[in-house]
Amino acid sequence: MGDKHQPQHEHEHQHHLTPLTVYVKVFVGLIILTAITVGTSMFDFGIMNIVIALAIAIMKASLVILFFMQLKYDDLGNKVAFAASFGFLLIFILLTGSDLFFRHDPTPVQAQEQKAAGAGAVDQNKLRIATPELVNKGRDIFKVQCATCHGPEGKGNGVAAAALNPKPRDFTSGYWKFGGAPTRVFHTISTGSPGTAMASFAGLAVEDRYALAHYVRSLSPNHPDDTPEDLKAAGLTGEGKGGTAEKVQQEIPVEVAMEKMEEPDVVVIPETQEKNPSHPGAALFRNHCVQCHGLNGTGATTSPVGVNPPVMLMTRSFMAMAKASWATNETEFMKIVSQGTPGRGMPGFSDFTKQEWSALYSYVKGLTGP
Amino acid sequence: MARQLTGALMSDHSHVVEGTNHVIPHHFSSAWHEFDASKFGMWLFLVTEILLFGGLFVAYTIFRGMYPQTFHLAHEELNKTLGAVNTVVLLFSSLTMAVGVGYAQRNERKKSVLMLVVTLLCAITFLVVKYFEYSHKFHLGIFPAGFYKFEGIKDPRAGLFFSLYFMMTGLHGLHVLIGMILITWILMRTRRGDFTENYFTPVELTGLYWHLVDLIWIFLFPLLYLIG
Repeated sequence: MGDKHQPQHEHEHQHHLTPLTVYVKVFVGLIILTAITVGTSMFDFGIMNIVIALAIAIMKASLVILFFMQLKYDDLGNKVAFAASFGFLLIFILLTGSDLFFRHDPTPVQAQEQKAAGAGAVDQNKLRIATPELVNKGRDIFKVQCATCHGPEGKGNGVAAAALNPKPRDFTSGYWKFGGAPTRVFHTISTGSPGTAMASFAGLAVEDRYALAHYVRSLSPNHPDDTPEDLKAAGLTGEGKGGTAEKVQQEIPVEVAMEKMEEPDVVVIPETQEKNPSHPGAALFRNHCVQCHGLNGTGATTSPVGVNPPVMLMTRSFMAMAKASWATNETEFMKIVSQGTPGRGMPGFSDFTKQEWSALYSYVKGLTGP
Repeated sequence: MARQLTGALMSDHSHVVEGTNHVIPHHFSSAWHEFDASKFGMWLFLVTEILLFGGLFVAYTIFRGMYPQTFHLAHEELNKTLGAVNTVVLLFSSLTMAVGVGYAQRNERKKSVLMLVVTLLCAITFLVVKYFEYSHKFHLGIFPAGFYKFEGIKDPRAGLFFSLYFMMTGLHGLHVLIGMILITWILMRTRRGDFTENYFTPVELTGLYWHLVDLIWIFLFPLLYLIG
């Protein structure tokens, strides 16, 4: 047992004694490199600043590693271990960078800045004058954003128009609800038409909206110019002078949006008009159904269903449906209400107790008749 | 049987390194073997440290890449002079540490102790400077993560830069503190006569650790303080 494990004085292996003056020289080199890196940081070399800084840092690191840590005179094993760590770090950085820095969509900050720059540079005084380029641009945008409701030729006969009330505008009719002057049509596109399915398209760039305005006006036999009153209302000074820059679309802070989403939808119903307000099912109907099915189930509420593009569907009135299966069979009623109508916008409601189901069924049944 | 074994070990002085009371564990074939293995183990530990800080450096790279203006604006709040002072202090401490190890190698006990003391003083200086930097920031309302409330930087994401700053320099500062504890331990053992030119492994390994701490700062300084 003893002999094999006798520690030997291995004369082949000696600790490498670095002369202490070498350490001092290395230190001086490190200080010089530090001075250089501080010095170069005070000048603007653009992208080269970071390159220089990292190059110098790597040189300093090499001095520390090779001489202070004596890796220069060390075993291969230690060198490999160390090199491997930097190797893996390099892989980490390169692979991450290969994703991050080759993304083509602008990062959120850049997108916001682009938007702000765009909005600030807009001159509505120029845009309100129709040009063939704007009309063509408007035609292309119309196909994507508008044709679903207004129809491919702007006749108000789009695919979704069947379900809408009031019907989308037929631009070939010559009638303009809010005026047919460029700034007026722009305004209508920007703010939508309250009480109708015409939404606000303020999310489109200002130029895009003017392009659309000019296009739809080109479809109309009646396309008046901006009057001085129109210009005043739009805050524009007139031809040639720089227009007011449109305010950048304010974004709702996320916290506020989340708060709003948490609030239950409050539906205000004038109590005098509600049918059978004391019926046990009335409160249930009020809390769950009125938003879509309307006061007393008269319907006529539109909501978008689906995406790409969304279709506007409207709830029908219960009045005509006394003979429907769900108005005559409680089980059928429960089935439809609890499952909803997939593809047609009605969600499922299944959290009712037995009494609540009965009450609701009885109440809804009551709404199908006088 | 156990008694015999113990007796055999106690009387077998060839396992003890000359001039010290360090017993070479018998699974090593020689003093050199033990030194070699210990050093390799230390290097493996340093590899993990590099990967630890590496992760933070990658996070830095990502956010600086995404928000370069934020980083440029926010870093103006850092004091470059203090940063440079700390860099010089740490570089000097690396010198004294290396020389301290060199003296241990040459069995120059008193000189080794002196160098270790100077290294320790440099470390304390570093942490004192950091104390002033941090307290100035806290005074302004610059805190890490969600506690950030300084209004003076015209960039909503400035807090991001400072989260990285506090995390990276904080973790580094913790390593400086640990290094100080290790150096103090080595200092005491050197004064006690534990080491000779035949056995000074703990001094060597502590030296390696300390150089790594310096190495990390060599990268932290330009990346945080000198954003051009």
